[in-house]
Amino acid sequence: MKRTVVALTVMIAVAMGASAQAKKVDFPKRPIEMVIPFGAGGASDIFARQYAQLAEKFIGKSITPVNKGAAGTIEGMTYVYNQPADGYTVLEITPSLLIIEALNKSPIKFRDSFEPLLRVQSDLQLIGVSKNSKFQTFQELVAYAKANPGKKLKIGGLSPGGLDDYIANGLAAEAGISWIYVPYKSGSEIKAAVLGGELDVYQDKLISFLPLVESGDIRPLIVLNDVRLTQVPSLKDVPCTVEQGIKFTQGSWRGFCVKKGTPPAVKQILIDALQAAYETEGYKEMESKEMTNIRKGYAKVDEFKAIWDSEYNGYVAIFKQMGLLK
Amino acid sequence: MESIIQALGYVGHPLNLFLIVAGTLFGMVAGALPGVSSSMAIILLLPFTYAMEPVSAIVTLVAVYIGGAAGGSMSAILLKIPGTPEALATTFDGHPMSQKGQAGRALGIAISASSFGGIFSAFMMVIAAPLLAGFALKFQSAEYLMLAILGLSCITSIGGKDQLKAMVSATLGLLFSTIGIDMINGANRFVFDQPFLMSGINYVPVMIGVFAIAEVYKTVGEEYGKKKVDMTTTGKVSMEVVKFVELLGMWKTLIKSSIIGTIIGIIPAAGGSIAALVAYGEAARSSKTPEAFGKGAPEGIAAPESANNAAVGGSMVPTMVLGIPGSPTAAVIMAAFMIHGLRPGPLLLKDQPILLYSIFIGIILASVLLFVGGRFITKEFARVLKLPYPLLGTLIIVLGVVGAYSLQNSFYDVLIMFAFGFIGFLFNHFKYSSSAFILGLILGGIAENSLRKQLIIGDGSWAGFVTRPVSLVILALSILGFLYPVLMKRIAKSKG
Repeated sequence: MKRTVVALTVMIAVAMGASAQAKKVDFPKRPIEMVIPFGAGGASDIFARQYAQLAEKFIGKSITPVNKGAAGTIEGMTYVYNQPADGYTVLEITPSLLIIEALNKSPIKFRDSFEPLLRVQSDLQLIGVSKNSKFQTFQELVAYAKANPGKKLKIGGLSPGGLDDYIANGLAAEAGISWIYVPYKSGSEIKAAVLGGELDVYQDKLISFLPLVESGDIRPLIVLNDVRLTQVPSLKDVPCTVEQGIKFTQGSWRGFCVKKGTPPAVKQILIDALQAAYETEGYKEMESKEMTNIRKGYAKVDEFKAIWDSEYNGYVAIFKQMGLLK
Repeated sequence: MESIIQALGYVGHPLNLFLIVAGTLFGMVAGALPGVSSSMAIILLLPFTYAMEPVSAIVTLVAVYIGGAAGGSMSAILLKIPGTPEALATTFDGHPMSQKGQAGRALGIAISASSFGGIFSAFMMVIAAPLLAGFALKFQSAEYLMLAILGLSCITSIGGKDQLKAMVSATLGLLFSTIGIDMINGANRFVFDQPFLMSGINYVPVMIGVFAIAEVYKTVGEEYGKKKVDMTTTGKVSMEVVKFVELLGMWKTLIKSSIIGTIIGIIPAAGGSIAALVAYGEAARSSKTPEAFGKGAPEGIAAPESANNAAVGGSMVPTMVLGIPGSPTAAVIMAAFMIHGLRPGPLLLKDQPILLYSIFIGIILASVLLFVGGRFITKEFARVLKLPYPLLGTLIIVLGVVGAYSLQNSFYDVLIMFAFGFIGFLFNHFKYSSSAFILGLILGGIAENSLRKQLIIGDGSWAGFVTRPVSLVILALSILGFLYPVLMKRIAKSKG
């Protein structure tokens, strides 16, 4: 009995010491690595690189972006998973990592192995057709799809079983139609396929979608959002999904996480730096140039964690419908 | 006209001139390093352009692109490591010429041809940008399949004497291209639960393996057992530069390859590497001495190098006019456009007429700089051949490892490189064709993907491949290109 009491007291003392130490933790002592689980040059890569530059001013050490884009985000995630949980390796995340978990593509379960820091931005997805298309509105398109189940429309996107595939199928399921999803290797091929007439329906994120609307090549049909985009002059009259009774607003988003088990004090330092970067003028400017400031993307740790779970459930439900999951 | 003068005044500013010089040089050095492609070089430089004026930033990045497209040839010729994927075809004749002791000449041809291709495509870009851009949209899945087939039809031209072995090699390459996630339905193929195989076998480490590493194995094998390792120089290296007359003599090849390069550059999913391969195949096919190809033919260097630089101007056309990048590198430049608040698309040329002309002048200046300054740089680079082989071989392996790793920061790529170094060694030993193998590996993915997409789009019908005019024309060209060497042999025989 006495022994256990002594042992307990020692343990409590150690624990208290540890927490006291954690309060004035000396972090970071060396540069921090920001792992980008994508190849160089895409929207998520450019975002992380710019954000790293903004955040390093607040953390006192440099933040080095590293691309580990092999195996469709799995390589980057696995790399961070294999590093110690000390906060020196931060992982950029997008819905792709939740999709990997939903599809069981990696033995590492994302939500069990990582902890959120901050969600920074949210992208909007839009649906449109070529200017030569016979569809003037989304209702017309839906009516056609319902009337002609034998002649399926084709919509493009990046990678099979990825976010675009989910959005195409999720939207169709909500609207009560079905179409054929054709995966392409790059955004430029999709645009060329729509403008050249190979695809019937075009989906893209706002920043890539807008120039084609402004040039008159693409007729916007619907925005996946709960309100219209009144801030963007050329899109202010385009209906949004929710007003049409389609409760589907998925888009991409970008944020950061660390490996589970990172000391809370270290996590807090990282969160503070990312938060400070979010509030800079530089970030505001970057956001308005990339048009990611229209729908609120910012989400703190708890909210972000809840988003992980709710989106994960959405993915599983749609993937089951698509037959990708049993 | 007014815009040209305005653009001249703008680009002529000393700071912008300096940026073009710096960008071109940086591109050349980055291009020469295996694993640092032109797009990687541009991404590395991107943060430094944030503070610049948009036009200065874009012109600097385009200069890097030009330098990178040319720089890859240096390591291709000297070390048999294609510094960038665009320089793959340059190894076929560039390295043999260098082995004959004419490294200076090979580099001279490569740099001059690059410069010619760049200038040619800049003019094409300015004269016909809006016209040419529409052509990019004619390219849909059916046409991509045909383009891949056109590329594969070059096998008979690069295959050398043993056509059958070349075909076997290309087929093996096609087979390896099926490894990884199925691009249409997302299923894993030949992955064996290894995540690193999911994104497939990347051709860059394979390329370094079968060419550079296999060559080192071969040389080491030959030296093995000799009593004394030769630590003196590896052989005579002539620094004699290429004569202007020799370049003039190749005007046909240069112009034809530049046209091929510009056109393929415009096509969205095909960049300088495919342009260079097709131009090489065409040069070999139309040559009066096709047997000299693969053994150090000057046209075999001029064709791919002018084509890959011509692809730079070509790829900028749809990037600016349609907002659809013509190559992976142009896609990165397009990202830079957006960072600087410029939205590529039809309105860009209207809102920013000065931009097109500035890029035009930038490409021309960078190309001239290549021609003038490149000669001095390449001369210095060529000195690496004066190293004794034990040192040179070690250097090649080190560069290969760095190159394979830095591609995706993945060590698996280094393993793939060494594995294919061994396979390449066997290929050489049994006289199979590594070039045909790589061709199959690069084009297999495009071919399969486009074939299956077209079948989905045509609801299972094959008709689209022949009813679409552009597709049909390329198919006819491919069949001609494929049979041409065989037919010529027949004709020669019946005459003789």
